Amino acid sequence: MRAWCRIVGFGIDAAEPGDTLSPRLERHIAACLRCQAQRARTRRTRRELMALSGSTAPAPSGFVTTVSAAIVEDPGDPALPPPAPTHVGAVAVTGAAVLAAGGAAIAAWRLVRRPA
Amino acid sequence: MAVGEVRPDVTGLVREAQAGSTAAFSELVRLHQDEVFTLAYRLTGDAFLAADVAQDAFVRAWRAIAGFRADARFSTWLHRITVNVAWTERSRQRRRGADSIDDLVHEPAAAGPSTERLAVDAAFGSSLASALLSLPIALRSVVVLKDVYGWSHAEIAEDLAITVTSSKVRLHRARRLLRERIDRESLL
Repeated sequence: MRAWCRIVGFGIDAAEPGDTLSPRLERHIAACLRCQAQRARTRRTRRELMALSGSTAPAPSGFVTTVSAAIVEDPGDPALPPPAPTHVGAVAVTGAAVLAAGGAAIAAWRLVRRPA
Repeated sequence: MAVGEVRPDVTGLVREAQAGSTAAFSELVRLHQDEVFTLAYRLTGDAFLAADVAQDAFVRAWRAIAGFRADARFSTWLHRITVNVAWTERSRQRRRGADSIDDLVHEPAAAGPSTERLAVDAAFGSSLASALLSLPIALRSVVVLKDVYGWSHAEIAEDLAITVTSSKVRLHRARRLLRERIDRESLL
């Protein structure tokens, strides 16, 4: 596969519907049967993926009964907010850990460097 | 929906459930069970695990329904909870020592696809769905949410706790792998 075909392939995969590729890439596609075929295949795959949103698989039989029994046993907590994004907590914890480690390192360095 | 069938009043049911009606919530479960189970299946790739994830998602939805605001669609809200539960399950499985959910739920190639998987694939009616399920979960989640459910990269990044750039990179990899696997299948 030629280098240009790889670059175009990346562009085709990354492009969203409605996006236009650069004129240079478009010129290459116009002259390259392999890239034309790849673009057509990619568009077809995306259409098929989009079509999947309309199809559902049936939930296991008795599913509603099982869930209903679970929520009757679990009175819930109306005051609970919806689940928060988990990364906020992770960033906060990581930030605190970095600050603490930095502080400890500076303190240790100052202790070591302090003249006797 | 069949002609003459009464359109369910989801907003009214949500309001009743927010007031504590388990019957109204059970009706919401009945109305949304298939779509939530399907999303869970597409994310986990395993029918049994998907049933657990879907059940857990509904229980969490019940606990949090008082905080649900009517400016969002109920089904969209449920989808986000389902993704959250599936992702939490994946993290839990990884902590247990498996590399990914795929390691736990995918049967060895020699054994062939499981019966329940074939049944659900048949319901999906597409070899594309099988190719999708063969992707690693980190890539599959992004391509499912973006290309099947039309989420934005910002929404995916927030719910999967990754950056927008990671979401874009995973989508690119997923699409490439998907195309390669479909090509390989069509050659067989």
